[in-house]
Amino acid sequence: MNEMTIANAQYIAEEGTNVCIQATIDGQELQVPLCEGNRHYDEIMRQVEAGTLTIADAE
Amino acid sequence: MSKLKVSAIHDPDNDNTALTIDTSGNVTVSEGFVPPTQLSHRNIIINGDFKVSQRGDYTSATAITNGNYYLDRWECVSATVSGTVLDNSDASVTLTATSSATGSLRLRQRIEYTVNNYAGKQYTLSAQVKSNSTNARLNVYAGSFLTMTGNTTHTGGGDWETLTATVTTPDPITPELSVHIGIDGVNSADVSITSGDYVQIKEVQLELGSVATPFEHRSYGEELVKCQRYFLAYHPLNESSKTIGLGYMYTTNYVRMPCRYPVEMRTTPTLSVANSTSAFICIPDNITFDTFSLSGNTNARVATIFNNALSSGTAKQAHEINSNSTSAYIHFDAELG
Repeated sequence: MNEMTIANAQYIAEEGTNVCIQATIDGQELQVPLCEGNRHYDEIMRQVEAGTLTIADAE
Repeated sequence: MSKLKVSAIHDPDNDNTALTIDTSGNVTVSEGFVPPTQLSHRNIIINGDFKVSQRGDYTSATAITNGNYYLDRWECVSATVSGTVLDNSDASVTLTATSSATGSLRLRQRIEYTVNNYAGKQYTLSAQVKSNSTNARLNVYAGSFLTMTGNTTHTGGGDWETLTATVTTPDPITPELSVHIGIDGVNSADVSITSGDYVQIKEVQLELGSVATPFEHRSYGEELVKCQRYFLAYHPLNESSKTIGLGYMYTTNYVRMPCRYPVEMRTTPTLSVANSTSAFICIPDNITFDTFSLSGNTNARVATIFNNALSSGTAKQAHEINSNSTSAYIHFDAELG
């Protein structure tokens, strides 16, 4: 797995429930499903567990 | 050298004609023909002739961001060195170094080994390669870089050469099965790269067995469908005023649109979507908006995308969702990582 550069990670909510994570990943603004096996989600969670990334709450 | 001239070969038991040869040399097999390996669907590589490029048009040299995808299924790796990718008109792709450094400049294709039984077998990777570097080579990774036999490295002489690498995969394979082609070291060690070094690649094939057979050509449609399991340009860039799909106003400021993919994707995909002023429009209310979000209903077969911050529309009404500028795009990404 590549080390991705991830910034501005924030949950997006629909009717009060978090449905995806919006983040800038390697310079691209992406919306990442909350799904293991998705390479972006797996890398976000890896960086969160490593303490190098924080996901902001949904607005 | 000896020569045997026959017009027919019969089976040993019943003396039936098994094979005939006419005076032009055409061979006709009377019954079943059992090849040592499969004759069709040999090539495990997807987009081996680089004909599918859903993300964009790279017919002029495009700067590479390390780890990003350009032509479908091919990740560009530009470790420590800058480079460009160019989609040529002859079904080949060229990577060119634009800086000098010790590193690698290569393509990588990850293979979905978890749904296919690729473990513990012999495979042969082949490609047509042109380069001015003596470090243009093939590598195969399956948890570690595999021992290869064959003509794995280019001479650097600037002509097309056939590179081949025969490997045996481990059993089990973990955590990745991938092929690597480019300016790269043995076992993908860093090598010295000079600005202007290039590698041009076409007809990449990975197949069962120890022999590199002729490249298996597939139609654009076949190749596109294979690529869409991993990446889908649901609405591509540069197409304004085109229908994207049918949505509906859930409430007066809340539009939702289901998107059914043409094939089941590898996993629930990431959404990459335009965030550009008035990129999209709902018809007939003619409400313009900038972007979409990915709904939690999304899975590997269908996505729902939404925008819940629209100006007021007609609730409970169906809408045709159109692109409203050339900046509009909707991409789904389920690539391996």
